[in-house]
Amino acid sequence: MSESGSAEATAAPSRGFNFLALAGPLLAVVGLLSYFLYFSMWPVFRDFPWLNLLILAGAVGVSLMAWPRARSGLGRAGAGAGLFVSVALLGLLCFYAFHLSYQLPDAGRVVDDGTRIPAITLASWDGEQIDVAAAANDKLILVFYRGHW
Amino acid sequence: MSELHGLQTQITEFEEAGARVIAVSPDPVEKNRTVAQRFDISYPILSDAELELTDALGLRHEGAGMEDYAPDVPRPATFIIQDGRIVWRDLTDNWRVRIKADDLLAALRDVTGT
Repeated sequence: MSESGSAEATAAPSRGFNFLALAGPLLAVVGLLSYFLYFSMWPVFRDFPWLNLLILAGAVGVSLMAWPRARSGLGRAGAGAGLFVSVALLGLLCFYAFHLSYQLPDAGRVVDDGTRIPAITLASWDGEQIDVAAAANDKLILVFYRGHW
Repeated sequence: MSELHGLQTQITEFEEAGARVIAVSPDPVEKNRTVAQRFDISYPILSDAELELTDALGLRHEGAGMEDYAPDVPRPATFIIQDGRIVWRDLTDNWRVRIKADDLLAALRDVTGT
């Protein structure tokens, strides 16, 4: 009985579909997209994308586990492609979070403290026309927001 | 929670400290209205689509826009203004990371002595 059990265990990977080879890159896609579609809404997940990095690292792990299970040439090609996708998407998030995000113009181009706010009138979302200089006569928090978060 | 929503959650505290909150975006008025309604924003979000105010303060970030029709956007920036002049700023070095409302409130109380 134990003999047949071990034979079953060693034979099993060569039979049927190697699900891990597909699960790895699928998890990687979820790990990358969920950052932009969901987790970036909260600073705790956004500022340092630790959760998405963990998911993507897990995806690479799953893809690595799929490798020894691949027996045929086609299976190895599939597992290899899956591993490539997982690693590539992890690399993409790292590039975005640790390089692209720091690409900003020289802060020296911004006006100095003490600069007077110019008299410019702009429309708010409810149609109200606001002269920023007039609003700045009181204490004012002025936030430049460029979308998404 | 988005940056604008974060400010909204503390809007009473900002007002109690005597400060008005105004956001500026490069988007058209309609898009700002959508954002304001989605996050229940009560303060103004001004549309600086021509980047007039953005350029006046030296905030233009070339080529950072997502849409073809608006290639340039302001860099994320937060100012505290008193008596018409800038007295404090936060220019993040990472455009994903914006100042938290709590920290901004602390800076406001510190700088303006309220």
